[in-house]
Amino acid sequence: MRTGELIRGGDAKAPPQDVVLRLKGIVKKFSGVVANDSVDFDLKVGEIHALLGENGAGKTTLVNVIYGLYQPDSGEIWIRGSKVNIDSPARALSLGIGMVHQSFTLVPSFSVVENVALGLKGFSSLRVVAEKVKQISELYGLSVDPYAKVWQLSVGEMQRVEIIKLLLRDVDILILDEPTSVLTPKETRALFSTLKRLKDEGKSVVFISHKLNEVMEISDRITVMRKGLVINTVRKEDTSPGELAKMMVGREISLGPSKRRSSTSFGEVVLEVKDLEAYGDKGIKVLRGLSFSVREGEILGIAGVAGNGQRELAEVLVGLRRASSGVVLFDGEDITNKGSMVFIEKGGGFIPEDRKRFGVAPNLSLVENLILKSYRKPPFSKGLFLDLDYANKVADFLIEKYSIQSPGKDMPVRLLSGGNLQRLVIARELEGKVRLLIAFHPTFGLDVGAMEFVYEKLLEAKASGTAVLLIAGDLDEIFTLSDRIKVIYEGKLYGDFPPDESYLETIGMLMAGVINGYKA
Amino acid sequence: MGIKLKFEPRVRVSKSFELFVMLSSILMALLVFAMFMFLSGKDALSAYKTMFLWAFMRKVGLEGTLVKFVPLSIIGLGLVLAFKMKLWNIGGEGQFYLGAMASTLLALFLFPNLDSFVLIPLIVFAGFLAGGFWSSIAGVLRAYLGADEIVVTLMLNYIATLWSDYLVYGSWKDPAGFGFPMTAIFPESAKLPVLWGKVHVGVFSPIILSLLLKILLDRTKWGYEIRVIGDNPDVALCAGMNIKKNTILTMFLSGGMAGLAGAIYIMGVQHRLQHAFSPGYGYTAIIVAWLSRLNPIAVLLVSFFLSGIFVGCEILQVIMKLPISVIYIFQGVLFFCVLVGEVFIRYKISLVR
Ligand SMILES: Nc1ncnc2c1ncn2[C@@H]1O[C@H](COP(=O)(O)OP(=O)(O)OP(=O)(O)O)[C@@H](O)[C@H]1O
Ligand SMILES: [Mg+2]
Repeated sequence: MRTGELIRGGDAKAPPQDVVLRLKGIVKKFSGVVANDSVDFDLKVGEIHALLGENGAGKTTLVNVIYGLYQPDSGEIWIRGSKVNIDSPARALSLGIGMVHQSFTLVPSFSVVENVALGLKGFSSLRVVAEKVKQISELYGLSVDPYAKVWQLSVGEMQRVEIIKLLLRDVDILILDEPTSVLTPKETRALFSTLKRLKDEGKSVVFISHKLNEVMEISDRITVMRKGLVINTVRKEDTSPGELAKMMVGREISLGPSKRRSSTSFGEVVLEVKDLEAYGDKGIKVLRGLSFSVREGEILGIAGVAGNGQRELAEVLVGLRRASSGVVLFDGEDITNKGSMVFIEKGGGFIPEDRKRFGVAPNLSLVENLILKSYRKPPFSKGLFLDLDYANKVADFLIEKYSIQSPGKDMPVRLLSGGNLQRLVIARELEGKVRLLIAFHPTFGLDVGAMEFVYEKLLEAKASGTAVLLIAGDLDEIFTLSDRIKVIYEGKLYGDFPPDESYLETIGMLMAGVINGYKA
Repeated sequence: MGIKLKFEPRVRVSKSFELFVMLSSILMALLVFAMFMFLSGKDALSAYKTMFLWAFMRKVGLEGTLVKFVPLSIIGLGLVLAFKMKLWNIGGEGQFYLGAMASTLLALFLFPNLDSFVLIPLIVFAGFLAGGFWSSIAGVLRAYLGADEIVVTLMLNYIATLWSDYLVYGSWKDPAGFGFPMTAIFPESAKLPVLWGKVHVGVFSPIILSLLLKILLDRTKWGYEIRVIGDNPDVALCAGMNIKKNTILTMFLSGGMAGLAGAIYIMGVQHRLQHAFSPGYGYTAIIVAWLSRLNPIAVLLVSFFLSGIFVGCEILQVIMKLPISVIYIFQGVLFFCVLVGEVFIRYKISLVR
């Protein structure tokens, strides 16, 4: 089957033996936007190759081309010395290429084995499959219970199931698009050790990430893209985070935590939460008596391992989920279970964790998505009507100010790259007079430059008197921004720390559930 | 290896491409239908010529086309509204019946003596309310119990048609009607003024309504909410939109339009309620809404064209001695072609080796 793909007499052009995948001059255009501009890319046998680049640089597009989701407009793909035409993911899989998407493709009500079996061509029994799952998971350190139902799994575990699925199909080129952005630090560690084992087995990995320290840790070589072009491919030993950042952005940028703001005096209490309790989707109580308050000009950081009630807390605060008991006071007014309308009216902003679900209407335009929270009132509307002229003007302004790259402001936002979607959500939620901002993983999927920018915006908001509740898994982020830090563990809050590195260990312990006499 | 079809989702679909696909689907349906006629030994080309000339060029035929155009387009507009919010109202037929029944109640039993300039607006309003009431049953059930509106609206269609039959076979039957299942004729005051032949003043209403709907959807806050909810209900919730209220309101207005169509139809054409007075306008309107790709202006064109085809089919029965079922066959073929066209619009299809 694979002989037919050999280019006629073109063996001279074939890549060397140790290159398992070669891209030559890949061009992919989308209605005007050149997402990939004659990209050359080599993946060697047994290497972990990172793809790095600003939001919208064309990384996802490139791996989609490799995985057969997009057809390149021109260019060649060589796999193991033969030129191939990858017209579908099925074809990619048959060539030994597998990809883990950010949104998983698992059936929640099925068990892990059942999900794995779904992807297999033929199998004798579920028991056999379960055996194989166990083997693979032991071999590569992908620990997961084969008989657990998928809906019970954490995000990290689901990701492992996706990888197991691919490995069972004998994939030897594994593509991971921003795999760590959804993981806790511990899960990231586990993923990395899996990747290392895969590498030792002679498999090759393409890995996309915005986190420079991760890239420096795990990859052998790094390819940096900017505006659809490959800027350079370097070996890890020959580079530094600073140099990578410079290649990405095209100019010198400061890395690491921005200067800690001088401690200011805080104003009135804006958000006050007392003894809050709420149930999760599975009918289990996930918030078990939370009390805290946030003042004007203050950033309260909530650290914690994902799945300890952060999502539910955010949802209760913004009015998307009912509290079963307790009160939420916003500027002294009881807004408990009053719905999201009241929250918005009182000047609440919300950067959701899942921007695709709670952040945007995918088929509506940029303009229409930008007015989502403000369309009710003048100047965005007059009486029953929207003021589209005004909306367009504001959109132009925001697109410029937050440098949102898009094929056009009247285009559906589903065409935006991940990071640009995030910018759009942030632009919308931070504009106007925001009294209280609930920021949940605000830098999710953002490149280094954009991350700095968001930090700046959050600090600006704080300086202008906004109260900010920052929920994040990334301790660096929490320490950089917060004035106070609390830890959430199993639906309760612990401690109240200043952002001082000396508390790092204690906070880490609390996150892991070592309570040690701390009172909730 | 053989040749395979490859489906690649389209990134963006231009309006002109949509129009092109829509017209080709209709053309395709005409072609398939021609084959059918050919197989039954008829000359398809002359049949189409007859159909077209009759439906659009001859006075009587054009009258028939316009008469059908009015209810078809108004119900279609109502469906477009609901479909925008991804509420699959397929109960246009029942809502149309309810509008007609309410009109009859007012015209014959409650206010037969009112002046027409009071009575006609009153009936229009009553028809609207009745249709809206009927569809909001499905709306309320959907909003508060999560009941599937497809099933509920479909069931309500049966109830409505049977209820109407119950009346025209029973207490509303015209005593002087030789036992036919129909009511007495409306008083003059409840008949719409005639413009030309069978064409009544109601013929303008679709045009006005389609403009209003376009403005509603594109320019108003409410239309914006409908589009956001239709696209992503979670984000709508997050933006403080009231989904329950909007579900009920949208269903109400959607069915209200069908009820309005019923009132206009019965005052303009039928002038009485009778057994099976609708040749399935409510169902055909689903095709109209789909073919027009939820564009209110396109609804006018599509429903005018389809009405013409149906009138043309009627004349075929007479001239070429084809059975009435040709209309249904054609509708089926057309619906099929529309669905195929939909696939072409969603995906770029190419042949690969
Ligand atoms: N289907 C599409 N239609 C039109 N434009 C697109 C499409 N997909 C991507 N683009 C554009 O191509 C560019 C590259 O997008 P891509 O998703 O590859 O970026 P990325 O490097 O993965 O960015 P991020 O880090 O934000 O995920 C962006 O400007 C994006 O708007
Ligand atoms: Mg991406």
